[in-house]
Amino acid sequence: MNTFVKRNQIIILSIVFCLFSLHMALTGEKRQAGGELIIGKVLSAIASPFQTVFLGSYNALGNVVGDYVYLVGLKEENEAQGQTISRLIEENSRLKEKLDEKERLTGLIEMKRSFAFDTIAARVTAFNLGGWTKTIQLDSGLKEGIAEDMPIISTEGVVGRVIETSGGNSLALLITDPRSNIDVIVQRTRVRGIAEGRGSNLLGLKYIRDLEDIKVGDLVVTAGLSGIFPKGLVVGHVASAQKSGDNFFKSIEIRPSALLGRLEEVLAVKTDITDSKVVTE
Amino acid sequence: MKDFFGFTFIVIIYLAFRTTVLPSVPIPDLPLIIVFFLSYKRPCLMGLVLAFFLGYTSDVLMGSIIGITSFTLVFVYAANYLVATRFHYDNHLLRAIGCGIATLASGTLAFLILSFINEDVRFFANVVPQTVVTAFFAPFIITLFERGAHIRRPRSQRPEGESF
Repeated sequence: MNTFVKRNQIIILSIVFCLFSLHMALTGEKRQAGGELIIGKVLSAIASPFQTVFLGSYNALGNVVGDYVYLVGLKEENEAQGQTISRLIEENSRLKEKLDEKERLTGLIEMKRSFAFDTIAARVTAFNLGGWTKTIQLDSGLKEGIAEDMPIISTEGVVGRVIETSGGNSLALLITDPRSNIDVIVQRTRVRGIAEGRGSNLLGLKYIRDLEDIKVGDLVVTAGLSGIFPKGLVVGHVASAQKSGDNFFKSIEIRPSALLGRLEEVLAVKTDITDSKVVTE
Repeated sequence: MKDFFGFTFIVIIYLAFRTTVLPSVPIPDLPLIIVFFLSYKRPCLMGLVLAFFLGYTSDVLMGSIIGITSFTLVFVYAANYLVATRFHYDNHLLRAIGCGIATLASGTLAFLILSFINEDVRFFANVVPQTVVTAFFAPFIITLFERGAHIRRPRSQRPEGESF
């Protein structure tokens, strides 16, 4: 018996690990209950500085390469003028960046003022847009008052919701992630449905009967029924609406209004539900 | 134990890079290549634990459902361990094919689990590009691991005429 176990220990332990992993994946209790293992928080804390460094270096390198390519032609014509132009371009680029940032932040502040709920601003520090999952990491967490299930919005529309938060950062599930489902209304006809992530750039709009009047371009907003997203936030526009094979529900796709691949700053919305979570934390 | 922490650190750096610089571009699945390499080169219990831990780390840092990647990596480790008892990956082409099959198996398992829990996911858009890229780069990355292992070994323990 002992010999058998010793000879097959790798296979036996593999089966144990596989069953344990399947249990975690199928029950999903760690993420949903917010009680992620401490090791997960440690891993996030270790990775966070590297993510900041990579993102900073990537942006800096992008600027340098962009400037260099632009300057190659000018240097051939006039070296001296080229240096001056280079300085001006660098300064212009920096100012333009500042101006862009100011415009974005002004937009966020305007939105924050006009919004009925309190919001917390956060910067996006990492993206995960490949593979099955679509998430973003934010530089704000429990310390700033961000709690799980808080809606995340940008000036263009709904971005997603917080699924994990720790001391100084949080993880948000984008609306395009297959795990995301939002109660929505088509604004023109007030027809209700569920906007579901599909792991691509578009969302599916489910449970809309074939006889309902839905047109390409119709604005889709949150219905406020799920208890997470407040009513009336812009989700996107109808990109296509066709008859489906079952002749009962329409096959509809929504293009999200928020530019999910190019987010830089976002707002976390404090709703009544998330407020109570912050108090509990 | 050095390997355990070394590979974990490499994977954390890789995931930090992947989630910031190349979030939506298919790049080689480094955790899978590490697991593939360890399962045929140095199969042991610590390697299996590392496979589980690398999967868990990927799930945590990529924000996916916890358990899916650890399941697929442990499966790849066990399956490749069994295959490697009868089959030797002694050239680049075989390693590329082996890693490609492992990526395909891993992607298919993840797809099946996600489908089982009613996630609407696309197989071809996600798994196929990942398989091609991983299979293409795997031989080079495995060669780097072998060179690293060779360098770390004391000179007296290096076999005569070892090719890597």
